[in-house]
Amino acid sequence: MDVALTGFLDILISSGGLFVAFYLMALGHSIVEKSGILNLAIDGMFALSATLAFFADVYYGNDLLKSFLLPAVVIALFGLFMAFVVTKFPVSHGAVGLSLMFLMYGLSSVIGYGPRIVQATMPNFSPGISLSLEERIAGYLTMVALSIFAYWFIEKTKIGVSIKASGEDPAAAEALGVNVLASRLVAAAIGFSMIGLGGAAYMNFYVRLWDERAVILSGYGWLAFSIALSGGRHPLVVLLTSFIFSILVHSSLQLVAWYGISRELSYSLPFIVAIISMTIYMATPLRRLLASPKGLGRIYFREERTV
Amino acid sequence: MEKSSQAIFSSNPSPKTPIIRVENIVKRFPGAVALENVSVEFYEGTIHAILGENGSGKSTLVKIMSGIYTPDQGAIFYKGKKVTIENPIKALSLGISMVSQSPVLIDRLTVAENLMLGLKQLGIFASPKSVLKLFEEIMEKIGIRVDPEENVWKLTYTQKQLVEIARALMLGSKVIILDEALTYLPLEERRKFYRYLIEFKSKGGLTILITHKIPEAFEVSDKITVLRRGKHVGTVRTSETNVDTIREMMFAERAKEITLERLMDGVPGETVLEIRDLWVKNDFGTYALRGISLEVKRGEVLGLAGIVGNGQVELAQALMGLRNVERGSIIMYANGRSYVKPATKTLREIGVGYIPDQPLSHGVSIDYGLRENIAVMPGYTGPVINWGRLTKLAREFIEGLMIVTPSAKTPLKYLSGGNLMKSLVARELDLAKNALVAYNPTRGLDEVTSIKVRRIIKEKVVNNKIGVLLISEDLDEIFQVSDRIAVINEGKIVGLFDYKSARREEVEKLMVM
Amino acid sequence: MVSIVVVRRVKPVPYFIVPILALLIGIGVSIVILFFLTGYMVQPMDVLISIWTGLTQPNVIANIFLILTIVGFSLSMSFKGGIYNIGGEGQFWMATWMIVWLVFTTPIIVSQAPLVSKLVALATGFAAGFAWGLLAGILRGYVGVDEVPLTLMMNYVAYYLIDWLVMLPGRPWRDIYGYAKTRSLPQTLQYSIIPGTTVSVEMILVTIVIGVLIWFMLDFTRLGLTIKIHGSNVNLLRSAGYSVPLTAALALALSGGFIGVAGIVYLCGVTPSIRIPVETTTSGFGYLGILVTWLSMLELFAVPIAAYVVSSLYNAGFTLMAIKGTQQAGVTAGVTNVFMGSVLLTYALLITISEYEIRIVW
Repeated sequence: MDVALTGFLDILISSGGLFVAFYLMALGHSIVEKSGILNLAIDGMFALSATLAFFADVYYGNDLLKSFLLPAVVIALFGLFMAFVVTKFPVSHGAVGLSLMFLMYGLSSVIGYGPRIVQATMPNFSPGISLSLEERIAGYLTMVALSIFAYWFIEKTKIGVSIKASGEDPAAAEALGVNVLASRLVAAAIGFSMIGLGGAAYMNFYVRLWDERAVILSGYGWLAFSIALSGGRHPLVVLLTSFIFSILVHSSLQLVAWYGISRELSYSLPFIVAIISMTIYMATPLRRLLASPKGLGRIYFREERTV
Repeated sequence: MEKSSQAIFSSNPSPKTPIIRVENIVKRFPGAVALENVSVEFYEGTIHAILGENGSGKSTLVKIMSGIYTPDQGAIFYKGKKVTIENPIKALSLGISMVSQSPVLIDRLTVAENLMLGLKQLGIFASPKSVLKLFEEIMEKIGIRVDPEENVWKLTYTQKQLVEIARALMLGSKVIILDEALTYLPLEERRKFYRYLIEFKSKGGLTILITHKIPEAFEVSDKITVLRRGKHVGTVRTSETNVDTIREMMFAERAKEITLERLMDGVPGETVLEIRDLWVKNDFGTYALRGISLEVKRGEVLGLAGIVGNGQVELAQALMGLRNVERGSIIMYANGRSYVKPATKTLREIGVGYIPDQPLSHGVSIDYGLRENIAVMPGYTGPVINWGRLTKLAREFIEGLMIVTPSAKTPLKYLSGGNLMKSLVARELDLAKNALVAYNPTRGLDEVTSIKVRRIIKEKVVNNKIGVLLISEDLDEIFQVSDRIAVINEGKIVGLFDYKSARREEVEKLMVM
Repeated sequence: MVSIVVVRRVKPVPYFIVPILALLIGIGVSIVILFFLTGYMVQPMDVLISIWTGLTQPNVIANIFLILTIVGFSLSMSFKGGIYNIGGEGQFWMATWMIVWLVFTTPIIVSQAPLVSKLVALATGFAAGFAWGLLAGILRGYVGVDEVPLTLMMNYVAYYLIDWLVMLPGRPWRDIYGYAKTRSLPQTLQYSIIPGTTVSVEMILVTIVIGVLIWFMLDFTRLGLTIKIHGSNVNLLRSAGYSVPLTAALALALSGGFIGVAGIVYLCGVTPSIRIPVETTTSGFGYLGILVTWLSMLELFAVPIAAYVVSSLYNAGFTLMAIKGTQQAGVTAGVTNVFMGSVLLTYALLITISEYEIRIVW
């Protein structure tokens, strides 16, 4: 019993970095989607931001400020582009999102290649830092504080209500006086930069290495997507779902040690759980209690015909 | 008053500069010209009505003035200066706000949250609570009681409309456009509101009132502008004209043709559709229908009159198997047997037609042509499709209702609204071998086609002995076509009359009780 | 103040303009990206030459072309229904796994005459892909889970499941020398490649048959019509009495089935064994197929044209890296993704101008 508890605590502590990464990505994604923008590019953004963090780490000697800032800015720029384009033109959110995803996978491969070669020449170098216990606890607490701030921002301020309105029904929101484009750009600036920070956190606090399987083929962006969806895109609930998934992903490796299941099989577990959690969300009253924005992903086109 | 081929004007023009002037506005939509060189002047301190039948362009005109559409040609002058109103926010900044027939409030947000959205005086971090005081004051003035912390989806239609109007006032609007916003309010509420409009007028505000009901314009407006088929026919002072003149301006030489003359009587036979104590919920979980009982007989049209939002949508959907029935039953009598709560598929196979309230979203696929829209209905094709036969059938429909389309496979999105509706009606009438559930079947059609459609329906009723439930918000239509008239109000049937014993005023009263 | 107003066109522009423009602009963007991001190592000329090589060497890309054509046809089926089947990879590989498993554990397939065994293999591949797609289809149709993240995550599940299954010790499908792959399929199942090319008669036949079959299904059957109407107006489908969830599920499952056939064609005609880890050895046909289907504007006859172009781009990725001497698998796949992403993005943006006019208002 003691062993299990210590074991669980170990997992809790050592998955701290992953929790921060997942929560930042899921919260950022939630804010973006609350404004009505369907973000299917999240996995590409994850790969690209982790890669950019790696790039900064290698070329600037683990300067964490640059390592977090670079991905945040780059992803925010892509995101602002996406927000502008899907609001101003009758463009499919899904198509733009998926294309950006592929493009970002490609960019990650090309950008990551150089630093990896350079890293090979630096024997004792690892990107990021190893977090101490206090730092991990601080990380958890910071995320809780962030969730409270995000909740206040979205639910209790005019800008937050404008963002929600843009996500529910952009045409009605405009008629009510909301500048839908501005609201979405604000949501995008905040949300997408958070996604960038999340990927950087993954690189710097958790995985601390770069290769295709850890970064581009990990699919963790999609896990963040499910985390946000099953948490109803609610800053406080997503805290919980991020926590559960970070524990799950991290301990799936432990399951290999404890139950002797194959490593490959354990990789599939988080995805199976993600699919199950999305199904549970859709199939239960959760779907109405923590409903998606009604206008999520809908093409916003103002000039309609008269019939 | 002078009559000429050009617009008709009053003999003593107003001396002030108009607060809004639209000049030579042109607006086209695919398949139709909505507005053709329309020029009108609007003055402060006026209640200005715009009258016209369906498709006259009145709604388009005010949507341009409120920033929802942009004109293809022409200019708008605000207080003498030329302006472009490219979106509703720009319109709001000029003090122009619009309330339309269907509320734009966002359901999931609270009333307070909806209201705070347009208020420039609130900072971006302001809390929804900051609108509460202002809202209380306005509620007093126009006499409504709504809890501002309530989610909008819980409000009734009337409450939503009134909140919208309150919003227009809170925004300090100088120009309030009511696009058929009051037409469906209960009489009591409407009268209360007219009193407020008069007060607004005395303070210099301009109200632009869109309606297709002449009496409403005469009740409260100072000026009337008439549009017909996208053209400005004339603008007159209400005090200097009368109902007949206006009617003539609205319909011109066709006023004689357009008789809302009674169509032939039906010959009621056995019951085809029986509705017993039906209870149906709406999308928000409350009961839209509370124990409805009705019978539709073969050879008759049962007209169901009522103000929009009293359960008609839910009734039509429940009858067609598209909405759950909580209690009660629906029985269809056909092919020598009875079908209890038949599923949609069964209904279609038996031959029950359905003209939904929203034809574009529920009745047709605009990406495909008429022949595909026919093929998708049960009974027109087997597992493998014979396009030759279907194309031939489509051509019959096209000829029968004079649908304007290049071919049977031209995607319906390239047809005008009226022709699209005709395509839907043609198919449903063909499908209706036993019964037809029609909700606003002539919406969007011009008067001549509307009468044609109603005549074809009535002929089918009499000749083929089908039963028709005609749900309509247009009382003229109800009285023209129905053999019996029922009135629905808040989910209950509050009146049932034979056509001969039905009196218009009584029906109207029951609708708004 | 200048603002942009979007108005629906009265008559649309010819539909081939958009894919062609998308390709040109997308490739142009890729050139710029590759030039700057590789520190000027990859010159525009290099990219153009490699694409040109791809386009003008039909022999080299023929097998990819055929497989992409099959995938393109299959995805058309679901995309026309408004269901975005991003799970092609999972359906493809589960089909290959099903065959490997059957071939090495039971005599069902191998005991037949070669022609029969090949047909049974194709049918089994269809069944496996159909089943994998149906799983997602049911969740999408009956529960309403968004099919994009769902099918995508099922790709990962498929990859890892197969990785696990292939490497189970002591199983009959394991490679004799212990390499990270399955044993090769028996010769009777493998397609005989026409000398001087990369394709076999079987591959060509299967591609044509599937094309005709899908065309017939979509345009001449009630099932196809319901799928198309599902993609156009779900409410109409419901009011006509059809089951919307079932239609959605079938659209996904059928497209999965046909992609499964593509998997079998790949296994029998290109590489006769599954190499582990699947997620890194896959050519990504399930994803490339999306580009093919989109570029074809969902017109079936344009699918082979789009497939030809996409296979050239795919080949260009390899050629480009060979020129540069950096034939790292990751970077090659990366270059293909850069092409694919740029072209897709440009396409997604340009498609609006085919239906809408964009006006600048002063």
